[in-house]
Amino acid sequence: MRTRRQNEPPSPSWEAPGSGGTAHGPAVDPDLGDGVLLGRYRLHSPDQHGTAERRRCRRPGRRRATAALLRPVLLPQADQQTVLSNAQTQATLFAKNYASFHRAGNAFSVALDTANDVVVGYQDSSTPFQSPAPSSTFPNTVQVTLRLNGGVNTNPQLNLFFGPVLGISRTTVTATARATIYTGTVSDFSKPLPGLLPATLDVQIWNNFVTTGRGSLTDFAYVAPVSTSASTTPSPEWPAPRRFWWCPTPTAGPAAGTYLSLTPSPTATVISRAGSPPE
Amino acid sequence: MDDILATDKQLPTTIANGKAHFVVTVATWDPVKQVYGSDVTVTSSTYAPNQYDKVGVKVWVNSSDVTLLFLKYMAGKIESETVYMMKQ
Repeated sequence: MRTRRQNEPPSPSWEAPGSGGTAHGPAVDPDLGDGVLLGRYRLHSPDQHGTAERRRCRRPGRRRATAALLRPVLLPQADQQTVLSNAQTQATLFAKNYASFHRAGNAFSVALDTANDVVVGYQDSSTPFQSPAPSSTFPNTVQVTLRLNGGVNTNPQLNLFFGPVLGISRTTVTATARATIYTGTVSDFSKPLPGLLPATLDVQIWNNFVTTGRGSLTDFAYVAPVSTSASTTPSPEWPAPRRFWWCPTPTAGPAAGTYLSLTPSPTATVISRAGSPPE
Repeated sequence: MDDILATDKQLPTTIANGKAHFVVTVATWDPVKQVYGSDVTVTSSTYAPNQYDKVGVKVWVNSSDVTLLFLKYMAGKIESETVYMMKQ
C-alpha cells in the first residue's frame, strides 16, 4: 500500500462496477492514504441518485441488499484549490505570528514579508524542494525566510560589535526554514491501531446522524440505513445504540454490515455483524 | 536540555543538579478570534497545552554558578532568549 498523492484520481476500487451495483469489489478502499486524503468525499450508492440501491436495501430477503458501494464524490467545497488556499492562509498567519514572537538583532518582534517570503512547494526524499509543486503533486511544504536586511517589509540589518573596526557597521542576515507534512506508508492493519480505520465517512453525514439519528441529508441523494440495535448487543457496542449502517462486510457473509453506533458520549463504536441491513 | 547545557555548551549548570532553571509558558489559541491569549507560566503538573497553543521555553542560571572568570563574582542571573513553538 502506498499513500496516494492528492491529485491523483481516486482508487478505481472506489468506483461502482456499474449501474447495477453488484457488490463484489471492495467496499472501502484499503489504502489508508486514500482514507485520509479522501476524508471529505461522501458516500454514494452505485447508481447516480442511489434510488435503486436504496430500494434494494430496504427490501428484506434480498441478498443484494448489501450491494451498496462507497463511491467518492467530490463535494464542491472540497476542491484542491480551496484546500490549498486555506492551508496557505493558515500557514502564513501562523508563520507571521511566530516570527513576531521572537526577536533578533534590533528587531524586538521579527517581521515576516508574507508576500514574498512564504513559499509553498513540494519536496520528498527523492525530490528537491520545488515551488510551485510539480504538476502531478499536491504541495506538501511551506518555506519561510526571515530577513534582517533593512527592507521595507522586513527587519533592520544586524548591527555589528566589532565590524566597525573593518568599516562594516551592519550586515544582512537571512534564515530559511521549511516545514513538510510527513506522511508514512501503511503496510499492515493487523497490528493494534487504536482509532484507525481504513475507510472514511463524510463528516456532514456523521454530524447529521449524531444530531438527528438519521442517515440522510437534504442535499444528499444517498440514505444510509439506521436502526436501534437490541439491548443485548454484546460489548464493545453500547446496549441498544442508535446505529448507522456504514458499509457491507463482504468477508463476513453477503448480508453482513459494518455499523457505526453511538454511545452516550456520543462516540463511535464499530461493529461488524452478519444479518440484513436495518430498515 | 541537560544535554545541551552540559554536553554542547560545556556548562556546569543542569536541570538535574538544580543549577539551571526551566521556564515554560503556554498561551491559548482562540480559533474564533484567531489570536493568542497571554503567556501563562506553567509547571510540569499544570502543563497541558492544546493543539495550536503557543509554548514558550527559556532557561536561566545564576551567574555565580557559571564558572567564567568575572561572571563568577556577578550577582543576578543569565537568561536565554525565549523560543516559542506551536503545539501540534
